[in-house]
Amino acid sequence: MVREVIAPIKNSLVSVWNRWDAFWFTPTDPLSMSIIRILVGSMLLYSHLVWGTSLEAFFDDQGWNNRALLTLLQPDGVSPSFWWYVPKPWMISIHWLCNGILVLFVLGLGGRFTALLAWVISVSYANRSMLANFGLDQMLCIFMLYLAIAPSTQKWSLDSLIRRKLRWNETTISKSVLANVSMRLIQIHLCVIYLWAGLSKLQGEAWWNGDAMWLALANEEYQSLDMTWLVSFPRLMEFMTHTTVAWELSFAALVWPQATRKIVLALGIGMHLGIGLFLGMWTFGLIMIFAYVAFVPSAAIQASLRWIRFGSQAKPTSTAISSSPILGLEYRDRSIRKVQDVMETFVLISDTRSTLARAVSMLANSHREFVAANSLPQAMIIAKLVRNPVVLQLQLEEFDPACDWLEMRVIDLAQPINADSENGFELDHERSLVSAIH
Amino acid sequence: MLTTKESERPSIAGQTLRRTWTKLLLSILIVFHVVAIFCAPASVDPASRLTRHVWTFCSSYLRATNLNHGYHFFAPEPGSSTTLEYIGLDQEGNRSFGRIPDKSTMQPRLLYHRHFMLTEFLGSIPSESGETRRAVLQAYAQQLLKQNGFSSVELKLVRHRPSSRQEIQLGSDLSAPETFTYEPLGTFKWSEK
Repeated sequence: MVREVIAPIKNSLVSVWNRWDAFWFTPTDPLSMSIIRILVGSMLLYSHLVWGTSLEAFFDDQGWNNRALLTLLQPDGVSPSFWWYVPKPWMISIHWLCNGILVLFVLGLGGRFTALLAWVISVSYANRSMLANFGLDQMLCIFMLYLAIAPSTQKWSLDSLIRRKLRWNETTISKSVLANVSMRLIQIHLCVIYLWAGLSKLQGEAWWNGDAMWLALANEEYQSLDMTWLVSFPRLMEFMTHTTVAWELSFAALVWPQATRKIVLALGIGMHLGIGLFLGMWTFGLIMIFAYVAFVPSAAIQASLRWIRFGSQAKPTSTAISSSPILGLEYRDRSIRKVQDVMETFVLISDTRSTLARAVSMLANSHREFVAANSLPQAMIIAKLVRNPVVLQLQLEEFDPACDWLEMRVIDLAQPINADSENGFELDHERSLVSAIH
Repeated sequence: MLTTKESERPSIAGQTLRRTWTKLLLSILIVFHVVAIFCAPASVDPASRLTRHVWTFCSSYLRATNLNHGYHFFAPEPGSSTTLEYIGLDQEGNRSFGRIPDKSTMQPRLLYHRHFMLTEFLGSIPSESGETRRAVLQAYAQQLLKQNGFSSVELKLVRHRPSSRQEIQLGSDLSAPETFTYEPLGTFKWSEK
């Protein structure tokens, strides 16, 4: 009786944990975070170069951010910053040292150590220059924290270049749990930002009566383009006002489903470009758009890059690929489930036997590590593909005889691969199912 | 053939346990962080006691990491902007006029915007916060005296409201004199640190 009551509760809890586990701790490709590193790091560097034009004015004890004033404004103690301890004669040297570290961070040299230093630098500057901060500084500090958590220098970096030159094993730069955690944190943080931006607007009459957009555009101190001609289109401005609030309030809900994500992000890009163009805040507008990279799975970015490369360089190959059906093979190893109650999914896609062999070999390495370490590496190896399930099946048997149950699906990937919020990929179109029992 | 050997089982179990505990610890940190970043904007007035209590619990973390933000962009509604006008007097008795921020002299735009945030902060201080306002004014005046080599500086707060649609339709423009209000803030000298 007790068991009958407890069992469903236990199952529910296990199910919740599994979803939480998959959401936060599924290893993911650090490519997205690496791209964000370059974009955000460059913006941070630019911001610091601008600080450099008035360093003493903003960071000196007797400057705009007067030490005594900030102490008065923060009775519980000033926010931490190394600038509190920098003597005046050293200010310029320290500033250029910081810029040097930021350059290394953008280039991706020094791994997490440089990333941590860059985060400390961004927070220290922002905390010391508190009165001159705005949305850009807030966003920079947010991103830099998450970039310090993620292995953001693993790709598109001097670190990766050096690794390749030294011929280190490529499997050491595979997917990362922390890359996923930081990517999720950026996603969640964006949702929080937009939700509160929307909720706070509900207190203002102008956001209800439709005047707010006009009031923003008619603010002469902000505006960089004269938009007073819009006075002839009152309904348009009212529509833009209501759309802004509705978009901000619904972002946190609509950015997750695949069907609405692109629309929500496209509207966001439009809004932030508008902030840059009409209100002169290009830095803030761009930094918000940079955050959207966290909603684009690394594999989708890679696919786009491949498309660009093949499209521009290898037209005949590209035609050949598009004229043949694209197939993949999804492989689920049920034996693992028995050991630790998880089920791992791999996708192998290849177009030649050599590529396939290399993919299987990499997957085998990953899988051995998985069995030994009980980790959750989700080894998705994406390449182009050949339709030869027999070869593929044999290869799988070779590399993984330990598993006692295999479920294999041949999948048609001719349709676009959809980014999935939980696993990075969602394969929509199945052609046939092949099962094998060892 | 690769097989999972029996001898490997204990180490696998140990690693599983360690990973589970690591994930639990990470989960606690994640929950704390997400609650903290949610409470920061929620604690901005009007706020419930609950959110303020939770914010108090997280405030040290939020301030140390510079995550303590309200995200109230153009809220509750876009309003007047605040700038500062000054007339400085140097040792020879020459008078200089200036404005903060000033689009014509503060380039790039980011530099202009940072100065704009200084005056917007001054404009956001409630009139009843006398001590804070005085401290801000003295700090700003000090910087202007130092930066320009003035012996004294006279400050004036300028509030510029956006023109209404009706005003523009009637032929007015965004710089119409009636959209500005001025508040003299006093004259400051080196001795008034």
